[in-house]
Amino acid sequence: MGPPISDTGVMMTRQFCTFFVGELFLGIEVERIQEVLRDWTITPVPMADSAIRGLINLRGQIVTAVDLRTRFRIPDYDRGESAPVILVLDGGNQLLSLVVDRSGDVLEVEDDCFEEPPDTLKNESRRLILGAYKLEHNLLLVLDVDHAFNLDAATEEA
Amino acid sequence: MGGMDDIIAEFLAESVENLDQLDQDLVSLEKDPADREVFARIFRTIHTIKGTCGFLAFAKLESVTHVGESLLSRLRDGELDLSPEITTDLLALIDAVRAILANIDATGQEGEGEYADLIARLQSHGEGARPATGNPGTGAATSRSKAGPRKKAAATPAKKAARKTRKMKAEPAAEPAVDEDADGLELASTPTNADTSIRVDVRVLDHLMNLVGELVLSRNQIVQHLAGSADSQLTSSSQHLDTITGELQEAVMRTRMQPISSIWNKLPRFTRDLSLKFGKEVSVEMEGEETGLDKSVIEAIKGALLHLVRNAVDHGIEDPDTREANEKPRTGTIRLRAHHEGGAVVIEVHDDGGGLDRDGILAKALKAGLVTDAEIENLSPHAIESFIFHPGFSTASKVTNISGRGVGLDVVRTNIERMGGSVELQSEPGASTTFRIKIPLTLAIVSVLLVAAGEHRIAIPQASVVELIRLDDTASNLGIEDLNGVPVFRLRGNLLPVVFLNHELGVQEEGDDRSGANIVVLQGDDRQFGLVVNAIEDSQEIVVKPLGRLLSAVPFAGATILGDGRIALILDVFRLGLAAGVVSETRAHSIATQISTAVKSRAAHTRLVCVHGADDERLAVEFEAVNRLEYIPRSSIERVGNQQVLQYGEEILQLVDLQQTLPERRKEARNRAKEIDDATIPMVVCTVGGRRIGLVVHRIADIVEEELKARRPASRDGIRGCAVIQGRITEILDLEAVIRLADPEFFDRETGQVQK
Repeated sequence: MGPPISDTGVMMTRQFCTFFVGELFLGIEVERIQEVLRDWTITPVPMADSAIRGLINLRGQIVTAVDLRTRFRIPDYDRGESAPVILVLDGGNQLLSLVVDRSGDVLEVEDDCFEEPPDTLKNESRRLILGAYKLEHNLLLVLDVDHAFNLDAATEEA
Repeated sequence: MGGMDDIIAEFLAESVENLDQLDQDLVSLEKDPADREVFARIFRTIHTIKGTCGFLAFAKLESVTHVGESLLSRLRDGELDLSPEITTDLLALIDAVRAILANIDATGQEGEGEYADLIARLQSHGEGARPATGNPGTGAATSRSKAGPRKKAAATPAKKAARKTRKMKAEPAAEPAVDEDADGLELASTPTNADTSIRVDVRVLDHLMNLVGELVLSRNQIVQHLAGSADSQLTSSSQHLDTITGELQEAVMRTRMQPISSIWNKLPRFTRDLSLKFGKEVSVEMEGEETGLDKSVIEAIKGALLHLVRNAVDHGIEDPDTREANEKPRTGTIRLRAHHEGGAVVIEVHDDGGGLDRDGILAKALKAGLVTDAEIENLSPHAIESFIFHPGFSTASKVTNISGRGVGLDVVRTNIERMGGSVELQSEPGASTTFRIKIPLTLAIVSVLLVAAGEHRIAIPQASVVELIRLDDTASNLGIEDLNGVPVFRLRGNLLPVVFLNHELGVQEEGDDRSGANIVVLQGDDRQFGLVVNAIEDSQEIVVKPLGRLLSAVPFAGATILGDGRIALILDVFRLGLAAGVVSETRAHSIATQISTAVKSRAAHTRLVCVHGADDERLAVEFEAVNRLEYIPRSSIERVGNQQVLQYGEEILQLVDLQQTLPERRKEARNRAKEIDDATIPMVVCTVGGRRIGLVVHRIADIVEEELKARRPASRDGIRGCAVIQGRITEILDLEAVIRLADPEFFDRETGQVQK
C-alpha cells in the first residue's frame, strides 16, 4: 500500500498516532485509533494465544488486548516499569486493542517521505510493517493493523 | 420508487404474519365448521392479500388468491361443505401464496411457479358451474379489469354473508365494512393492531438490552459504593436509581419477549399434515400460549419443539383402530402447555398415546450394548426410558421418512442443555408420554457460581453445576485418589473423574496445600466430572458478553463484568471437559460404531470391583452383580437368629462377612475381626440369583476394567479363579458359593425373608 498522490501534484500529508514498542517507533493512522488508555487493568485469559495480553473493560464493553511486543517477538527483559499503554481501535464489528510500551505524539508526515520496507526486514516484522516514513531524526514505521490482529497467520508461520 | 418498495415490504411482512394465522384458522375450522368468526378471519385475510396484490400488480398472486376467495365465499354461503380435501387444497393455496411472497421478497418478482393445477383444483370443488376444463390457465381472472365481474363475484356473497353474520351474533363492526368495500380500501382498514404496535429491528433491541445490562452494572457499583454513606440525599437518589434501573431492565426484557404462540401457531397445521401422512387422527390443544419467552430462546427451541411434536404423532399416538380397541377416543390429543416457573419457562408436550415401550427400549439398549443382562434388573423404569436420549436410539420398528432415523432426541437434549435447560420425560405405558422442557427465560443473563483460580475469576454456569463438595482433610481416605495416574474422587461409591481448575488453566499453585479445596461436580454433556477449585466466592446473576473472534479457541463461553468492574470469564464446561479428556466427543457418533466398540470392549474386558480382605489379599467381584458400594456404621448391624442383617432402605439386607466366610483364613480372620473396631464398614451390595445381599469386606479398592489374563483355577472354596489385575494376583469371587458357605439354606428359603 503506497500513499496516494493527489492529481494536482501537491504533496498530501497524513496524521499518525505514534508509539513505542521496545526499540521500534511505530505509527497508526490517527483515524483508526478510537482512544488511548493509560493505567488500565488488563485481565489475563488463561489458555489463550500468547499474543493475547488479556481483556479490558472499556466502559462495559469487553475488548481483547493484543500484545505488540509478543507480535514483534521482542523479549520481555527491557519492558519498562511503567504501566503499558493501550490503543483502542475499531476493528469493524468489534473493538480491538493493542498493548504498547508507551505512546508518542501525533505526527503529521508528508507522503513523499514514505518508503516500502527493505527486503532485508525479516519474517513477521516484515509482514507487520507496511513501510517507513523518513523523518528528520528517525524512521516512523507504519503498523499493518489488520495483520497485527491476525493471530492465525502468526501461528502458521511459527 | 422508494415509497413503492416500502409499501411492498409492509405488504410482505403483514401477509406472512396473516398466513401463519390462516394455517391455524383453517385447521380449527375443519374441526368446527360452524365457527363464523374464524371463517370471517380467513376470508378477510385472503381478500386483503388479493386486493393489495391487485393494487401492486402481482398478477399471479392475484389469480391464485382470487379462486381461493371464490371458493371461500361459496363455502360461506353454504353452497359447499368444508371437506378435508377442500381444506388440503386451501392449505396448498396458502403454501403457494407463501412461495410467491418469498419470491417477491427475494427477487421482487413473483417467480417461476405455475399454479394452474391448484387453481383448477380449487375451482373444481363443489359445483360444475365453473369446471376446470377448457380454460386451465384462468388467465381470465388476471386479465379482467378490477371493476369487472370479479368485484361482483367477491362482493355479492360478501354482502350476503355480512347480513347473515349480523343476524347470527355481534361481529366486530369493522368487518362487514371491509367486505362491502371490496377491493379498494383494505389497505387502510385491515391492520387493526397497527395503531398500538410498531415493528422494531431486533438489533435495536439487542443494543438496548446491552446498554441496560451496563446500566445495571453501573447501578450495582454505585449502590455498593454508597453503602454506609452518610450523605442521605445521595443515598436516596441512589435508591431511586436502583428501583428505576430494575424496572427499566424488566421493561426492556419484555420488549424482546414473544408469546410462545409465535411458534405454537405453526403446530396445528404441522400436526394435521403429519397425521394425514401417518393415517392418524390427532388434535392439538394448547394451554398458556401467551407465556412470554426471549426471542433468542424462541428461535433456539423451535427445532426441538417441532421434533417432539413429530415424535408424538409418529411414535406416540396410535392409529385410530388401535385406539378404539384400547377403549380410547379415535382422535389422539397432543397437549402443549407452557408456564413460568421461577426464572425459567416450562414447556410440556403431552400425548395420550401408547406411552413408551419399555421392553422395546430395553431390547434395543441390550442390542446396542448400552446395558447388560445383569444390569437390567436394577434399572428403574425412568432409567430405561432415559435410553431414548442416547444417540442413535430409535424405538420405531420401522424407519419412516419423518422420524425414526435414529438422530433426534439426543440432539434435542443436547441443544436444550447447551442453553442451560433440561428435558424430562414421563411415560405411563398405554396412556401417555410427556416431555417436559425447562429453559431459562433469556440467554443474555445467566446465574453463575464464581470461583477463583489464582488471580483469575471464573464463572461457572449454575445450569452445569450438579453439587458442591467440600474436601475435608480429616476424611483423607475419602479424598482424591489416584487411579492409574488419573485422579478420581469417590462420590457415594461411584468414581468421579477429577480435574484441577488451576492445573487446567496453567495457574501456578503455591505449595501443595489442598486443604479447604472444593469439588464442583459438573455435568459436561453426558458425563459428570469434578472440578477442584481453591475458593468458591459467590453466586451471581451476570450479563453474558461475547469474547470476540481472537479468543475462539479457549474453553470460555464468554465474559462478564462484575460489580467491582473486574472481568470474569465464563467457563464452557463441555470444552473444559474435552480439553481435560474427561468428556469425549463420541456422542455424535453413529450407533453402528457404538455397537461395535461396545461389543469389542465387552469381549476383551471385564469390569470388576476390587476389594481387600483382612490379610490384604486382593479379591474381586464381577461388576454386573454389584448394585452399590456403601459404608455402613457398625452399630447399624443387627442380628436375626445367627445372621447379621441391616435395614437397607425398605428391605432387610442379609450380610455376608467375607473374612468370616472364606475358608483357610477363617480362624485367623475371626481373631482379627475382634481387633478391628472401625466405626464404619465397607460393604458391597450385590444381586445374586435375583436376591440382594450385603458383602462385608475389609476395604473397597477400586473399579477396574481389564482383560483377564493369566487365569488360574481356584485354590479354595468360594473362589472362581485367579487372575492378574493391575499387576497383582487377584482372586475372583464366586458369589453364589460364598453365600452358600455363609448360609447354606440362603437360596432355598422363601424370598420374602430377605427381600421386601
